[in-house]
Amino acid sequence: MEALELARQLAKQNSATVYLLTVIGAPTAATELPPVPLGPNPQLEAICRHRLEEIAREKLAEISHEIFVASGNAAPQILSLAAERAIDLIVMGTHGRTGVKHFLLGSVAERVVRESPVPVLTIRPKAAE
Amino acid sequence: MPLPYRKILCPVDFDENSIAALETAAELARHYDATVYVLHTVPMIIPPTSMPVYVDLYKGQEDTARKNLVELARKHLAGIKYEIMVNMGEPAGSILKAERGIGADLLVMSTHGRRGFSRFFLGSVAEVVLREARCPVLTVRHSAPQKDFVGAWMTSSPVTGKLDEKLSTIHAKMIEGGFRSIPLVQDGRVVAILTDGDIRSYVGHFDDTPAKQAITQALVTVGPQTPIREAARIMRERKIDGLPVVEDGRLVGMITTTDVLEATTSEG
Repeated sequence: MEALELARQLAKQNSATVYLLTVIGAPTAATELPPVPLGPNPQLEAICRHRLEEIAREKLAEISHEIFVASGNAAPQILSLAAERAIDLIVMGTHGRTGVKHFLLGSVAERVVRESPVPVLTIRPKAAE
Repeated sequence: MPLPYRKILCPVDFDENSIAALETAAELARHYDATVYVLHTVPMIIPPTSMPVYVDLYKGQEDTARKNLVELARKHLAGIKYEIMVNMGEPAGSILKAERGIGADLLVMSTHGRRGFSRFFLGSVAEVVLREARCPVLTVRHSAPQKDFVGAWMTSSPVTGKLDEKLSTIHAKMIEGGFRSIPLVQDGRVVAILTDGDIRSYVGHFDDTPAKQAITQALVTVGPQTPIREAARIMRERKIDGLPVVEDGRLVGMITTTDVLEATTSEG
């Protein structure tokens, strides 16, 4: 949510459009098993889209925005949307986790940072301090 | 509230990628009227014994780093408030300590273009910084300018003159920088080019001739994306030594015959 607030402020200052994206991940990271090829789940996608719309209504009221829901691995999905829409800046939160938890959960932002051709603004949630 | 940014921390390690980050930091600082804190960390591993020797050794590195930072800042942070910081120790820890110490609102650092992260500076260091920084972190990817294009060889932020400036002033600038031509700008746009040949015909009248009176050539500009060969062709056909490089109407550099020779004779 810190990331969204930051994106909102930047968009407001620069009259930019916020592309709000959520990626529904397959629960593979924590297991040794090969990833299960889960197809997109239309029901889940609809729920996520609805939730994003709510968030956008509440937080991005006066800001130009678009909503996207994707399924799969988060980092590639983020990067492909960014490329497709010629995004100028990616704003995302980091989990601020370390150690084992970091290896399991904190790598999406890092992968995006490493591979994104455009600048990436990461923000750590306040709760993680 | 993360905005507006007042204190921007920019860790650098003197490669071209750091310069991309520094330029982004400069742009943001200009926009927000912020101060840029340019930080370099001299990596230091202190062995348990023979410490004094090492302290001397690192002291030299610290002085060199400071000197390099001053030069970088002068080149890329002209007209911006900045402070220079040199720390010694482990880079990630040093960056985080500086971030907390100055109460930075934003950290700007770079990632490598072709090879992913630079292993040393932006591998483990960036990962730790991203995860542990209290302020937002902007990572900028350096896109190496392609070698066949003007952008890779031009001189950025060239010295310029004004239409009403006396030829004596223009001449002094040319002598000081060793330029054979100088772009004249008005309201941020290049309006003409003045060569040493133009000036030469006014010898003896430098103090009472404004630059605009000496202009003889029609202005030709190129862009950073203009191929080097094309720039060379224009220079040969028009017999001129330097072309202003313009992007989105703004002067971004100068490309000279020397630059073109360098581009065509450099290895790799």
